[in-house]
This record gives sequence, C-alpha cells and structure tokens, in this order.
Amino acid sequence: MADPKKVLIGLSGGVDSATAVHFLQDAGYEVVGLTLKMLPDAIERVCAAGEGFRVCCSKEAVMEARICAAKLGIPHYVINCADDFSDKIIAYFIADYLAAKTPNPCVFCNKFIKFRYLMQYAAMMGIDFAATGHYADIKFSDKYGRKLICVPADAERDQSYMLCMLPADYIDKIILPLGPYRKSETRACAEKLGLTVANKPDSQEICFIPDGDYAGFIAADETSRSQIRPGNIVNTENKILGRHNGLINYTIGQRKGLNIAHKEPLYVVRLDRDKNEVVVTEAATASKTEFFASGLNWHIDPAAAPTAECLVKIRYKHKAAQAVVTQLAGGRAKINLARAERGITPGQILAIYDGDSLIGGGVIE
Amino acid sequence: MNDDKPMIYFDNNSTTEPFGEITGNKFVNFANASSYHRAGLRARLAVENAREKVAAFIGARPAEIVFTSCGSEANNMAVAGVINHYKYSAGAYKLTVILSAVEHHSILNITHNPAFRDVEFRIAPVDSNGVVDLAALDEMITPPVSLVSVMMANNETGAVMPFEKIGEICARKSVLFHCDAVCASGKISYSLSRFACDLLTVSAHKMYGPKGAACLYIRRGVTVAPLIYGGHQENDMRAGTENIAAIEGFGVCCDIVRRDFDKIAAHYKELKSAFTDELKKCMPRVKINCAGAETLPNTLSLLFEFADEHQSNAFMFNLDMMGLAVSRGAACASSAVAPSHVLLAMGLNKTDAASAVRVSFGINNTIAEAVRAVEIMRAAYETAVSAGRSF
Repeated sequence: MADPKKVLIGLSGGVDSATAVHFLQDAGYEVVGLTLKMLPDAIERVCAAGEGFRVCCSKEAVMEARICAAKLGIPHYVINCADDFSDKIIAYFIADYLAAKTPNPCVFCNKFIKFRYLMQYAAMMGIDFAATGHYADIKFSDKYGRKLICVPADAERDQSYMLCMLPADYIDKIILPLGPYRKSETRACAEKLGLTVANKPDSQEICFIPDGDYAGFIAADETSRSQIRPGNIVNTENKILGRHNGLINYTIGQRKGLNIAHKEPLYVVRLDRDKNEVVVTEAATASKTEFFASGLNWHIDPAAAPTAECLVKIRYKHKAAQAVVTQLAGGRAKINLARAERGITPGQILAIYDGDSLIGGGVIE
Repeated sequence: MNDDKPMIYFDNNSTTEPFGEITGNKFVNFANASSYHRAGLRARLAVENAREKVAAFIGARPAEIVFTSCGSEANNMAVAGVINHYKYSAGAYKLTVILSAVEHHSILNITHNPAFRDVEFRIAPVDSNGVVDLAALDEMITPPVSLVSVMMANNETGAVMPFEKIGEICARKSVLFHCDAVCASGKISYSLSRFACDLLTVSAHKMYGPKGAACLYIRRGVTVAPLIYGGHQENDMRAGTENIAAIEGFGVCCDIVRRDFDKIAAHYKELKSAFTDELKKCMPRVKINCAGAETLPNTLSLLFEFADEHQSNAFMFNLDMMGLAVSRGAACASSAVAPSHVLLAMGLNKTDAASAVRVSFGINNTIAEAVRAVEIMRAAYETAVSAGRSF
C-alpha cells in the first residue's frame, strides 16, 4: 500500500480547524498542524489585558491549537509571521481606510499570509496538500476542466468569498475538509472528540482589532490621526447638510448615525477624499447597477469566463446577485447588476461565481 | 502522535529520561517529613539520605544543600536572596550585581523584578566562542559589587566558562560568586572542595533524575534571604512540604552519575566525535559554534545555511517529522522562535541566532543513532531548501 498522502493544516485553535483534522484523518490522510502567530506583540498585549477579547492567533489560541493537536495525535508546529502580517495586512487596512476605501483584511490575509505560508511550508516539508477549516468546498468542474472552490453544504456559513483572491494554482493543492458538513455537525463532532474548543464563540470580524473599534485603532497612530479631519456632509447637489468627524467613520450605503434631519432617509453614496466630504443621497438615487473592479484574479482561464449569467457578491454576507461581468484591459472589469444595489463600496472585494463555483475576484473601484 | 515512528532523542540539555532506578520509585515515602510519627521519620530519612548523596556529588557538606523545586527557583533564590539579604538585613546602601550575558533566563530576567529597580546590574560580555571574557569581568568587579553570577557551562552552546578562575577572582575581591551548574553537572568534573564558590545550582532532571527537584548549595557562613516563607523546612531556607519522591530521585541520580562519571563522559565523547565526523563528511558546510572553546562533551551548536527563517523553521519541523528530536536555542524559546540571546551575545547576526540547532547527547544514545541523525539532518535540510522560493 502506498504511503498515505500528507496534509499540512492551518490550526487556529478554534473548533473548525480542529474538527477538519479529524475529517482528514478519517479520509486516510497523514495530518500535520501549523499555527501562524500573526499578531504583533503590542496587539497581543491589548488582547491579554482585555477581558473577553479572544483573537484567533493570540498566545492563548496557540496553546489551544497545541492541545487540540496533541488530542488528535498529530505533530504541531508554530511559526511567527507577525512582521509580514503587519506589513501586508495591517498596513493595507490602514492605508485603505485613509484613502476613503473599505478594506477586507481577511481576503488578503488568506492570499498573502495564511494560504501563502501553508503552501510554502507544505513545499518545504515535503507535504502534498494544504488545508484549512474554512467553510467552502472544492469540486472538479467539468465545465472548466479543473478544480474550483465552491459554496459548501452549509451555504449559510459560506466562506468561499474570502478565498476569491487566492492564486488559481493553489486550488489544486488545497483541501477544504469542512465543505460537506454543516456547522452544527462540526460542533457535535468536536464535542464528541473531547475538543475543549467546541463551545467557543466564533472569532470576531477583525482579528487584530479585538474591541472592534477600527477607527480608534487607526487613529492610535499619530501620522494616521493627522489625516482624519472633520468635514462636511453634502448631498449630490453639493448642498451642505451637516458635519462629519472623519471619513474613516463612514461606509458606503450607511444610513444610521449621520445625524441629519431630513424628510427621507439618507444614504452615504461616496466618500470624497480630495474634498474630505461625505456625500449622501435619498434612497431612490442611492442604488446603482454599474460599477468597476480592478486587480482581477481568475480561478479559471479568463478567456473562458462567462460574460453573462454570472453571480457576484459585493461583500461577505451579500446574497449573490445576477450580473454581467465584462473584462476590460489591465485586469479590470465592468460589472452590470441585473438589479440596482446600495452599498457598492470601493475597496471591498468582488467575488464572481458561476452557479456555486467561485471563478474569480477583484477589488471594487 | 506518529508515536509508532522511532525517535532519536538528542535534546538531553532540555531534559533527560530518568534512570530506571528512579522511575521505579512508587511514592513509598508519602508521609510528611516534618511529621512526628514513624512514617514521617522514614520520609525524613529519605530526604536526608538524598541530601548526603547530592552533597557528595558536588563536594559539599549536607547542611549546605537547600532543596528547591527546580533550577530556576534555586537561581532566583541565589541572586534575589543575596540582594534581599544585603538590602534589608545587612543594610547595604548600594548594591551591584554582575551577570554574564549568556546566563539562563532564570538569572537574566531577575533584573526585571520591580523590587530590584535600585540594584545596578552589570552584564559581563562573552567572546565569539561564548566564553565569559575574564579580563573584562575582572575589571568590572569593583566596589560596591556584591555578587557575581556566571554559569559553569552554557546550556545552548555547551561553552565551558573559566569558573575556577572566576571563583579565585571573586574570593580575592571578597565578592560572592554564584555558579549555575545546572547544565554542566554530570558532564564535566568539578568539586566544591577544589574551587571557590559561595552558591551553586544543580537540577535533577538534567542528569537523569526526576523533574521537581533541584538544589542551591549555600556555602557555610554565607547568608541569603529565603524566597518562600512559611514552615521550617530546609533549615528555614525554603518553606513548603518536601517533594520526597523527586528529592529521593535526585539523590539516586547523583549517586549513579558520580559512580559512572568516567564511563558517561567517555560515551558522550564517542557520540560527539562519531556525529561530528559524519557531519563533516556529509554536510561539510555546516558550521559548529564555539569551536574555539572547551565545550561540554555532549553538546553541539550547529549553524546551517538558510535563505531565511522560514527555511530554518521547516528544517526543524522536518527533523521532528523524520524522527530526530533536537532543539533550537534553549528549550524555553522554541515554540515561537526568537533569536537566542546567547548567540547574539557571541556576535552572531539575528538570522543565525534564530536558526542555530542544538544537539545534546544522552547516555541512552548510540553511535548508530549519531550516524543516522546526520542522515536525517541532510534529508530534512534538502527538503527544506529545495522547495524554491516562489510563493
């Protein structure tokens, strides 16, 4: 009998990746665990001080991952990528907000940190595959003649959006063991296995901002703070309606917290960095059908990409919408939605699907 | 944990597998050694027998041995004990303590104690071989220095310090000398009857004894303040019910190592030369740290060529997966890698200081394992560095 294939799994210390190990073992793989320490020490200290702050790569989480690995009987190793995480993810996050955009650090962490290091270490350790506890599946697509990431059995938990910027050549070497399972099933399984993480809450939105106050996080840096200035809130006819306390506190599509008395609800449609203005409008004109994306990343041969009948997601929890994606020069695309949407936000990620299959992604302009 | 795979354990400076004579100890003497009854008396006898054995091993009197729970506690007791005694009991106005740059963290991190903010700590440098610079140290010992703490041999590199000469200098200048002999004990020969030393630390688990027992030798006439206050155990120097099983084991391992010392030392030398010969043959580009100094017969610190820390990480992970247990720097630093303070103090750059590999042999290792270990190292290295850098 041939030696079992080896898989390097990213162990976060949470229930999902721990349970994924079990599913891999059941499928006959030899599994090795790797935990990435990504948080810079300063943030680590904030987390340690704050009651109830739990982040996916804190020291405590590293120890949880080690205990899980020992219980599951797999080797476990820890690497430190805090510098790279600061340079590539935290810096991008701050820069995007200061440029009046809304970044998605998870998508780029998957591309530049998590999967990149898993792939690199798998290669350096003679391991065949890399795996994570993401809720997404990988299936062979007859239509495109290759493996593609797709929506998992638990569609409500679908995290495939977060993987749309991964390089296409990673997909052949990735296994996503949770794809066929529902969250309740993985929790039940973890409990059965005696993994203490089974009842832990899900990790929160932005791992490096444990209290969720992203504006405070950005303003903590002096050079960043100097770029956050109060300014006017205007309507699309340039009429001043009120004041804002810095563009980073606003997102496209936002309705609440504008503090303007108006006969109809107002929505943020644009953040004008040059004029330092928040532009608002009424519901009827807040939606649009056409927008552009750049930095397009395809999981299929771009020439084979469908021009009609695509589904797109314009943010993580967005319900996929019908659209026509027209490829333009320079890795750009024009997207025409079948129905107008609010909250098409520069900096956010566009994920492109053909049915349940993720075929690419890009950054909304 | 892939436990069906055989493992070559070359990490004996982290800890050792206890002698069979010790693992058989089934907590027969469970009673409290302070109890008046016969069971208590038996327990007392067990502790005092062990004290005699430990004392004989280091060439001291039994009354000079204070049992502690670990080497770190004994080290803390030595340095903090001297400081606290001088500061509060002896009323010293100004205190200065000299530590070498390559001491264990249980010595170096005492400087972080907020209670010692007004103590001046001077750090004695080491040369490129990791040996304390004797002339520089001599020059640093000027009044009001109260204590010098220099280890007998370094746990990461194996470099042996000129401990006898340091003892002489300290005695001449009437300064207390603490020597952390945790790593050196059982590997090089020394006796407190032959070198001047006021305080000395030995730990059982580094010499085939159990975890949970260590000692601080306090030369008769030297006063230090206790770390732990409470009952009258250990002659009022260390409160807390004695860990009798561990202390007994400590005595046993001291006895065995003393009896078999020459045999053990010869075995280490054989292992080291077999390993080094094979390494030079198969991986000639690997550098051996501290090559210009006397090192412990069981310890080697190796430098491999890596493009970055990730190659070096992968190399370490591959070694483990292929069945070779070694360590990177000190055991405490290895779950998340930080450059070794020892290697940095020797002048190595950050990358090298983070990627040096420590090989430390033990009595159960064989020549065949030493040869096989080099083979594993080569395979682990090639897998790690041949993966390319395109990610």
